[in-house]
Amino acid sequence: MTTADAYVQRTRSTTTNRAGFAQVLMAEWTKFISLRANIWTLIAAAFVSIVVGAVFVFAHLDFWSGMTPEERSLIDPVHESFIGLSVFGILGFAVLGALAMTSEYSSGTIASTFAAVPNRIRVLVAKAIIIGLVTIGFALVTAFVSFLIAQPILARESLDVSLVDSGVLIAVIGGGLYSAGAALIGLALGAILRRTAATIVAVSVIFSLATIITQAQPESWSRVTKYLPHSAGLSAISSIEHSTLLSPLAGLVVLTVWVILGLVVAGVLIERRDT
Amino acid sequence: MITVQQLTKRYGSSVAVDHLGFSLEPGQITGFLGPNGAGKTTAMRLIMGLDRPDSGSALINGRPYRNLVRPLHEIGALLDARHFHAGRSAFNHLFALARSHGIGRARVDEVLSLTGLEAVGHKSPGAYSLGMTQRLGIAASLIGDPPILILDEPMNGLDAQGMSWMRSFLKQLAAEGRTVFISSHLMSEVAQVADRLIVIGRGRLVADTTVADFVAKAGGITILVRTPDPARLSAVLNQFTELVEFDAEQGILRVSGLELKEVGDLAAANGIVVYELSEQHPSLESAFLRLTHDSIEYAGKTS
Repeated sequence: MTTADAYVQRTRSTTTNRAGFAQVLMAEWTKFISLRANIWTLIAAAFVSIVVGAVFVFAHLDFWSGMTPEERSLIDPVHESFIGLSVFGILGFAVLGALAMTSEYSSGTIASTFAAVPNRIRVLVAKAIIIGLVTIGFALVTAFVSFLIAQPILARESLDVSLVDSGVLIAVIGGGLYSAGAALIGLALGAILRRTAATIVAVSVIFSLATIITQAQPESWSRVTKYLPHSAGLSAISSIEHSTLLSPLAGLVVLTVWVILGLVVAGVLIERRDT
Repeated sequence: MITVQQLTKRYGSSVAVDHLGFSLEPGQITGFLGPNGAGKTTAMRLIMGLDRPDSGSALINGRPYRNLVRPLHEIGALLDARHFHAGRSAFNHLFALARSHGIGRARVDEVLSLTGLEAVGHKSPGAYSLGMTQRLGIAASLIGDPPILILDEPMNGLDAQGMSWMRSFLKQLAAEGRTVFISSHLMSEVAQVADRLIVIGRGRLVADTTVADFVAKAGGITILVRTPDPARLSAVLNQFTELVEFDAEQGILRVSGLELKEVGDLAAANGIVVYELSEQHPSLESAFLRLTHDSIEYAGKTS
């Protein structure tokens, strides 16, 4: 036996025959947690969502006395609590997901990642699990805190609701799920586009610009636009029925379809493309 | 054991690697030489399964890279020393790789100290010198203690001290029985460490030889003679070899095909005064350039 054979024998005898998926998950977790920028992005997304949300509720209610009854009926006390999350938090979580992929391409570490785990689908799935779970955790806390802070402000006009009211708890959870969906769409787009700038532009269009545009669109368009990712996500954090939105559950289902579609396209591309 | 057969990769209309074939043996350092743009990096990326070949194959222990179950235990690579994230410490960079194979922290500390980085392991490689990033790249390639190492330009940008460290480190790795494959665009970087040479030009194999053979074929030894009477000495030497030329600029005769002693004896026997008599060994660099230059011209004519 040559020395080289001895190497192979030695390493094989100390390890199991399969590179376990759990090990790929641990590797991706190490990569995620060892970048301080990831932690700061999460904290910033949560903080800005909560603070801006509270300020917005406060400012919005200042107009309450001058509103017509019709305008007042359009105010959704549940959705009102999540304005900060839907405008800023979602974008932050989407960028977090995008960077998890594009920073590997921009730094070149993608080569050592794929060299260590040649089954690229496993890398993508491991990243999706970690980004998804971390985002759900942070976003649930963000949604819950936003909700709790907004209620005393809304109470001034007796608009406050409680978690046990119909549709409220699902909207808080919906805030966590919408955020995770946005992060995963960011991840998928990052894998598809590979470039940081292009991916951030894409997630900004999908989650910010689209929100502004669909608010200004003729109502008839909403039959189509309510199936877009941002509309589906907004449906999940609203409690009153709205012609431009889906029901919360339908919204979550549609969002899930987008996430799966994005990840499948990303998976096919990274598997086929050269690194 | 690496076996490359008929390996071909095209980018648009240009061929980066063209029906390349060679195999690598354990316990040897093989130098992979070619001018910049010859296709060395592409060939290495194809071996590592990062890019897909258009045709042909590159097998590691009989299997394509993407079919390796625990690749870091079979083959380690340094493809670009700058491939790290500036926000992540060297330790964590290596630890993430280690964890993908269930390798513990102890091995990370081990490869950091093997490459002399133990003191800076918890710093970001963004602050490293080029020599240190090369070492980090080597540390990463060694994380799974693989029997095969593929290193793309490991000497690039190193100072004399770094170069000497790298040479002895590579020799040690080969002495341990590993297959070591290093690319370079400079003959001088590999001639001192490599046992074997694979030379490519325009993606094609130009030479697959030992360093000793390459030196021998590089033109052999030339004898330099300085004499006040070059015309008469030329005439005398021409009776034994046709390979005598007079370098008017430097005032010396260049003689091939005769040994130093023979030239001296002939001059003495004919009473010709000689001021200087010396051997000139072939420049590996110029031989390498000639070889790859020829390949480029050849490729140019056939395409």
